[in-house]
Parts: sequence; structure tokens; C-alpha cells
Amino acid sequence: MKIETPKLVIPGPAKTIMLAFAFLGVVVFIAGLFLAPERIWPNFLINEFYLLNLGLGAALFIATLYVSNAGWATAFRRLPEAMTVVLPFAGIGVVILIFGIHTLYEWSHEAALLQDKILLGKRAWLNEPFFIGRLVFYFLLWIVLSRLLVKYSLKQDEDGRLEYTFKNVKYSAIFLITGVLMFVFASIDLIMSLQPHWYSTIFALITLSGMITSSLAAITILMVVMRRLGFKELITKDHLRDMSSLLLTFSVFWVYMWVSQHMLIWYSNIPEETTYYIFRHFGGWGSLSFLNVVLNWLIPFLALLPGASKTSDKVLLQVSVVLLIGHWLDLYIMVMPVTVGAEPVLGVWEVGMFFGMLALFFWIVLRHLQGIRLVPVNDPYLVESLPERFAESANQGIGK
Amino acid sequence: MSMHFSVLRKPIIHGEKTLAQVTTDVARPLETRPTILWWVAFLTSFSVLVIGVAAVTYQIMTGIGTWGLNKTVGWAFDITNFVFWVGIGHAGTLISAILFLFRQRWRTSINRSAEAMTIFAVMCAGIFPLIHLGRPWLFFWIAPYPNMRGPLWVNFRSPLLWDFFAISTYFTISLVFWYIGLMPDMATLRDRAKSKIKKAVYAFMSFGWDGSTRTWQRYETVYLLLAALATPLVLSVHSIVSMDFATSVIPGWHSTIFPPYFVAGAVFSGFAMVLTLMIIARKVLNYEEYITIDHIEKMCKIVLVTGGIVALSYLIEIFMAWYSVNEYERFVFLNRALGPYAWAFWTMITCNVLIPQLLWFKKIRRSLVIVFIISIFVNIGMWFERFVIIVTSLHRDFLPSSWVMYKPTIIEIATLAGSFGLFFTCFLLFVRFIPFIAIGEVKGVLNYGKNK
Repeated sequence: MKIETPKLVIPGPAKTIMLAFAFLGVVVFIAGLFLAPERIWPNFLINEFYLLNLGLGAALFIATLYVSNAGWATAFRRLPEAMTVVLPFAGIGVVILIFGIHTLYEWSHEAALLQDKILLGKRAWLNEPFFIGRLVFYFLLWIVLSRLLVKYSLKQDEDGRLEYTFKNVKYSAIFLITGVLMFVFASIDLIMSLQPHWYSTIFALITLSGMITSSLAAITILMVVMRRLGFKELITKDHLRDMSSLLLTFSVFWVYMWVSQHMLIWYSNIPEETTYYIFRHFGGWGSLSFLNVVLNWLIPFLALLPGASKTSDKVLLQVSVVLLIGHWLDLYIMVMPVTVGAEPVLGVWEVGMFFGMLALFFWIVLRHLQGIRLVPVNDPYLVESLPERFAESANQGIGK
Repeated sequence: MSMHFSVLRKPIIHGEKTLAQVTTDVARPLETRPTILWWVAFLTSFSVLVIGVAAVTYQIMTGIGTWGLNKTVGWAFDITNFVFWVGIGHAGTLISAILFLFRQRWRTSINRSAEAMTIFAVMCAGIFPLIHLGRPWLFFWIAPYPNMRGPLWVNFRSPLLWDFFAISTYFTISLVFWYIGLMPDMATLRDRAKSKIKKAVYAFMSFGWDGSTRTWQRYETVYLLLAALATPLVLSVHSIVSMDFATSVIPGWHSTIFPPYFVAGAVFSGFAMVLTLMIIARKVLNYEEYITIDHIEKMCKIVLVTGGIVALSYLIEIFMAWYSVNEYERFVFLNRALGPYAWAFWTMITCNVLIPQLLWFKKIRRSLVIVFIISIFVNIGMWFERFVIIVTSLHRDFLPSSWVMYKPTIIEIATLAGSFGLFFTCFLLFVRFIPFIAIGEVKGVLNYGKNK
């Protein structure tokens, strides 16, 4: 009665490459701590926030599927489930980040604070104990709730009880509210407060849309990889088409948020607000800001519009890689101008950390996928996301 | 799509309907005489419309001085009504275009009427900037065209001009989208019509629909394209409306979150209005098996989600006002909550944030009376949201000697009432002359959720 699914086996060379890059990332970080701490901490922040984006974005994707009673994505839901496994690692990362607070955040220096009326006014929010406490709280909440979702999904494989679905719908609703709210404040805390005088109400929605886009891109890459490893029956062209529509939608969503902030600040020309773009509009940063929009919107938009490219493994893989790099660039432009300096820099610290983070991410996710059943065989919605010939058998074993 | 459904899926249309029965059910209100209830509703709406026409006529003949505006508060009631009505329109396009792209099949029962509502709401909205011009007969000066006035061109940098483009485009596309969806149903009515005149009218309106496979195929292509076109449009319209405020430097108006926040608020208020109308219509027109309690529940969930986004935006705005340590920003929000218009602010918070939380409970989502009451509260709350944004930000000028209060005049209130009169008059005529439910589309989902 059950649909038999072969286990995933990661080819040996791929495993070696991922581990090598992850190791390299760690080496670069440790070397950086001694050789260039003012360069390594911003890079650590970018990659820490990025890793959080990938894990949390996937968890929110699963939660959205549950609350909307979606059936189309059930067959490959194990991929985003595996991605949430990186959240505890991001949690470790945030503990490490605590040691970099003084390098990163101007407001954490008592001397600077006392001379600055605006910073003094924000002291109730921007102070070290509260900042650290908030971060720990956000991460605990994300980790606990995402663990619950995955736990019940795996449990359902065993006995197929519908209660697990109903339970997950409830937890998903809670997760969507608290998870998004916490992410809004985490973005303000981790990224916006790097430039502590500046504020923008839409800022957290830009990081939120970046999170959604990059995690969808990572899910798509995993889907294409799985298809190449022989799971074409499970992850079908229909799934690819839906994912490409989502990628297209959310890359437009991202640029909508980006333009909203950019246009309104440019138009009103209020000095308190334009400081953000003054750093980012001239010299090398200006070209990078332009490239940011090209990578995160223009290329995905043009590439994914034609109907034929929506189901092409190759196009989707390329667009997703562009989006992953684009999201890194987006964070780089948010973090670096205020922390590192007037001109953009790209060296071993930036590249090593980013590739190390990506390798670590894919290694954790694929290793986790090796150990689990790749299809939620007893999920009541599975039948709707499988090809016709499996549908007959999929509805059995459910609802006992 | 697969014919296998999850065990958790329920049929969209209740009762074991045959295809012919669907046609008969939907066509019934069009082929019978209007009831007393309809006449009462129609005459009431029409009378209110007449009052509005009288108020607008008086205002145009006398001038904008008939309103309660003053030199500090230059925008108030009129623009509030404008934003309110544009917002109401958003649910229709969301249902017909965005839910279509998301393959939400339950939309078929409500898309026709919600889209009609969109068109009427945008018509109501259009009146307000028009009469605000003061000399509405010169409205065509808004359009950029070569002229002999200097030549005097419109200011392309003004968000008010973008509004003109956005709303006229939105209205046109919504109307075309709605009409295209109507064509097969018009042909059905033509084929059923008994009188010659009726037949001729419906034949004309169906554009000679012949029901061939090729016709259907082209129809579906056009429908998909228009849905894809309407989706960015609906987002752009309220984003641009929000820029009327956000491009300024007025504290409380200039906020970068305004575009997405206004769009979410628009969908929130629009769905509340759809709920208000559907709960009555399904009962009066006997469509309870088409617009089922599950439909009501799903719409409640959308109200809950969009209401959540609106609440999040309020929270971010208030937090940022404090976080900014900008004395003007901080003052605006304190003044909203504690100043002379605090009653309006707390009405807004109660109606938009507190009351919708009741929809978390399944029992409440499935109780028609409570949902109806909640939907009315949301309608009121969203009107007050725009009032609060517009008036409280203006009435405390940077110069305290200019601090004033604003009070609407009877003319302004009559104009608002008149817009409701226009909306309901149009809606009641729609119920009599055009199929309330998309016959062709509902037939496509008759077997949904039934495993063979």
C-alpha cells in the first residue's frame, strides 16, 4: 500500500566538495578573527542572517502550505522540512555573533552613546542585555515551532493519523504570526541598527521578501538536484512550474518593496532618511545597487516569463543560483557600507565565508535527507501532488 | 488536473446539481419579476443617490467652501471617501485574478458579483477627486495632451497624476476582464430568452458567442492574460494611492511602508464588503448551495490574514515613530492616540485590530450573524483608518498658531451617503440583469472534491 521511495545517496565527490568548502569557511572565519576582525564580523553577520533566511523561509513555506490546506507541494515537502534543520546551526551562529557586537554596532559603545542624543533616546531598545535577550528569544521560538512542524509530519508517516495534519495547521498559524513578527524585529535589530540613526518602516518587509525569495530559490535548487539524482517521478514538471511561478512572483514582490522604500525616500528627500542611500548610491556602491536589482528582479523576471522556461530544470537552476547570489549581494549592500567603508571590497573574507556558508547549508540539508523517508507517504494531501498513476495507492493508509 | 482529491477536500457546490439545474438556478432572478423586497431596497438606494446628486449639484454651483475644509486641513472627508471606495474595489480583483492564478477553485461562486462590486466601487471612488477639482467640467485637463494653454502640461512628477493613470487603467481592465467573463453567460441567457427584444439584447451583449471549442479556447487564453494583467494593476492602484500621502514630508503621511500597507488594508476592507453583500445575497437569492458556509469561512480567513498585515503595519509605524526619536513623528502618533481625534483612532483600532481577532474561532467564522456584524465593523474601521491618517496628520500643523479642528458639513455627509446610494443602486440593477454567479465557471467545479 505504501509508495516505496528509494533513499537518497549523495555522490562521494559532492560530499567531499561540500565538506571542503564548509571547512574552508570555518578556517577563513577563524583566520579573519585574528587578521581582519573589522572585515570578518560584517561578513559573519551577512552569512549568519543568510543561513537564518534559508531555514526560516523554508519553515514559513511549510506553515503556509498547512494553513492554506495546499496539496500541490506535499510530494516534495521533505525538502523544505530538511532545510529547517539549519535553524539550530543559525542559533549557534547567533551566539557566536554576540562576541562581535562591539565591532558591528555603534550603539553598543558607551562612549559614543553618551555623546549622541538620538542614540540615548533609543537606549531602552538598543542596549546589549536586551538585544542579546531578544535574539535568543527569537531563535528559540523559531527552532521550537519549526521542530514541531517537522516532528508531526514525520510521525504521520508511521500511522497516518489525520490529527497530525490538524495539529500542524494550528502550529503553523501560530508560527506564521509569531515567526514573521519576530523576523521583523530581528531585521531591525541585526541589520537596521547597524546605522542606528536611520529608520524606515518598510525595511523589515524588504528583508522578509528577500528571505522568501532566497529560500524558494534554495528549495528549487534542491528539487532540481533531486531530479538529477533520479527522483523525476516524485518531483515532476508540474511542481517545477508552480515553483517557478512562485519565484517569479516573489522576485517581483521583492522589487516592489525595494522600489517603495527607494522611491519614497528619494522623492521626499528628508535628510534623516537619505543618509541610507547616500552611502549606497555613489561610486562602486551605486553600480552594486544597480546590479542588485538586475540579479534579484530583472534576470529572474525575464527568464521566467516564457512558458517553456517554467518547467526547464536548467533555466530554473540558473535563475535560482542568480537569486541566491543576488540575495547575498542585497545583504552585502545593507551591511558593508556602514561597517567596512566607502568603497566595496571583495576578497577572501567575503568569498570564503559565503561559499563556506552555502556549502555548510547544502551539506546539512542533504545529509539530513539521506536519513529520512523522502515522501510524506501518509499525508492526506499527498494524492493531489502525485502523478495520476500513483494516486490510487496514495489515498490508502490515511485517516485511521 | 488530477481527478483524485484528498480525503480532506470537500465539494465546493453543495447539493447534487445537474448542469441544467445550475443554469436554471442562476438565471432565475433574471427571469422572474422583482420582489417587493427588491423594490424597497432599490427605491431606498435610489433616493439616497438622489440626495447625493443634489448635494453634489449644490456644491458644484456654490464651490468647495460648502465643505468643512480650512487652510490647515485641506484634505479630509472627500479624500477619505475616495481612498475608502478604491479600497473596497480591491477584493473583486483579488478574487477574480489573483485567486484564479493561485487556482483557488472556490472563487467561481463569488467572482462575478465581487468583480461587479469592484467596478461600482471604483465608479464611486472616481467621483470624489472629480468634485474636489472644484471645476469638474475641466477634468480633462488632467490628461496629458498637446494643448493651446501655453502649452501647459500636467506635472508628471505628481502622484495625483499617477492616480489618474492608475485608476483609469484599473477601471478599464477590470471592466474588460469582467465583461469577457460574462460573454458565455450572456449567450446562455440569449438561448433561454423568450421575448424577442431580450433575445436581441443578450445576443448583442454576447458578441455572437457560438460555444465552439475554438471560442472557448480563445476565451480561456484571454481570461488568463487579463488575470495576469489585472494582478499587478490591482497592487499598483492602491500603492499609488498611498503615494499621494507617502511622497509628502508630513509626519504620519510619509512612511515607506505605506504602499504594501495600503494594499493589504484595501483587500481587508474589500473582503469585508464582499462578506456583507454575500451574506445577504445568498439568502435572498437562494444561492446557499453555491455560496456555501465554506465560502464564507474562507473569506473570513482572508479577512483575518489581511487584517493581521494591517495590524502589523500599525505596530511597525508606532514602533518606528518611537524608535526614530524624531519629535514630530512621535507627536503625531501620541496625538492620534490621545489628542482630540482619539475617538477616531480608537474606533479604528477596535474595528480593525481587536474585533477581527474573533475570526480565529471556527465557530464564529461559520456563524453568519456574527460574521455579518464583524464585516460591518471592518467597513467602519477601514473608513476611519483613512480619516485618521488624513485628518490627524494635517490638523496639527508645524506652526501651532495654525492648529485647528475639522468637522464635516452636511453637504459632505450627504455626498458620502450618495456614493453608497450609487453603489447599491448599481448593485441591485446588476442582480436583476446579469447572472450573479458565473454559470460557465461554476459548472467546471461541480465535481470538485468528489472522488469519482
